[in-house]
Amino acid sequence: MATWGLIVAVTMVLRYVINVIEYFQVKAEADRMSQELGYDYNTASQSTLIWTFLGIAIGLLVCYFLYRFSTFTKKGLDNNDQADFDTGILNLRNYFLTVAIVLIVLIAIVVIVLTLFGAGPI
Amino acid sequence: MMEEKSSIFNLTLDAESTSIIRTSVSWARILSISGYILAGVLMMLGIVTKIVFSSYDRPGYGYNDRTVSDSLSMGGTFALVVYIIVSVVLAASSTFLLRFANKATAALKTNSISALNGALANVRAHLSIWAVVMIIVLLMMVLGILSVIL
Repeated sequence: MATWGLIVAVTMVLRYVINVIEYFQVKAEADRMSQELGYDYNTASQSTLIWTFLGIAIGLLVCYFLYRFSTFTKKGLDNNDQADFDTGILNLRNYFLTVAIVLIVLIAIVVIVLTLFGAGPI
Repeated sequence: MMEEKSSIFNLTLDAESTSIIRTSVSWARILSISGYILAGVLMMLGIVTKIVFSSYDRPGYGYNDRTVSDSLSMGGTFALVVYIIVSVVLAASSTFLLRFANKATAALKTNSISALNGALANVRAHLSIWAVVMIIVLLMMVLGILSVIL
């Protein structure tokens, strides 16, 4: 259980590192194209920047809880340490809490978007 | 009734541990229900996308160029398949979380160590699903980057 949690945390962090690299690559390309075409895309770029880094910040928080859950639960079981085991389970609860809140917000956004713009083109 | 202290692995379940597990169970249940709802919404979104994209294929409404309408229809099918896969993964991980919540509640009520072990096995299954998904996503991203570079 702890190992799987650690794998999820590490792969998520790696994914976010690649996301940041991709963001700056796309930004550099967009900068170059906007200079060539004389198009100002600053507002759109700032909005993308905010959403990208907000997503990464929430993702990293989830990784942090998963990592702490993995390490503390493993340590608690290996050393028969009650405090470490409790800390591990507490971080599992925080992981559930964060992901649940994110999912509820996501569902609300999808429902709002579908209500406002959905079924229009059909 | 729950004893003041009971053994799990070589550790003990005191009042504090029990309270932490109880709140974990509540949030796991909320997370699993939101997961099911999101899976349903995504499935619906996939079907709507497929219908919208296929509607351009109607005579008199769609594009005259068959290549464009065929591409749109194929894009709709692809989107539907992706949405279905994401929904199934979400529903499967939510099922494991719900099983964790039910088994852990039963374990805390009956003071059953085997039920608590079973409950934690479901958390492991939930995490293993996301580990496999994350590894696949990571591999696809690396392949995407390599295809651009090479």
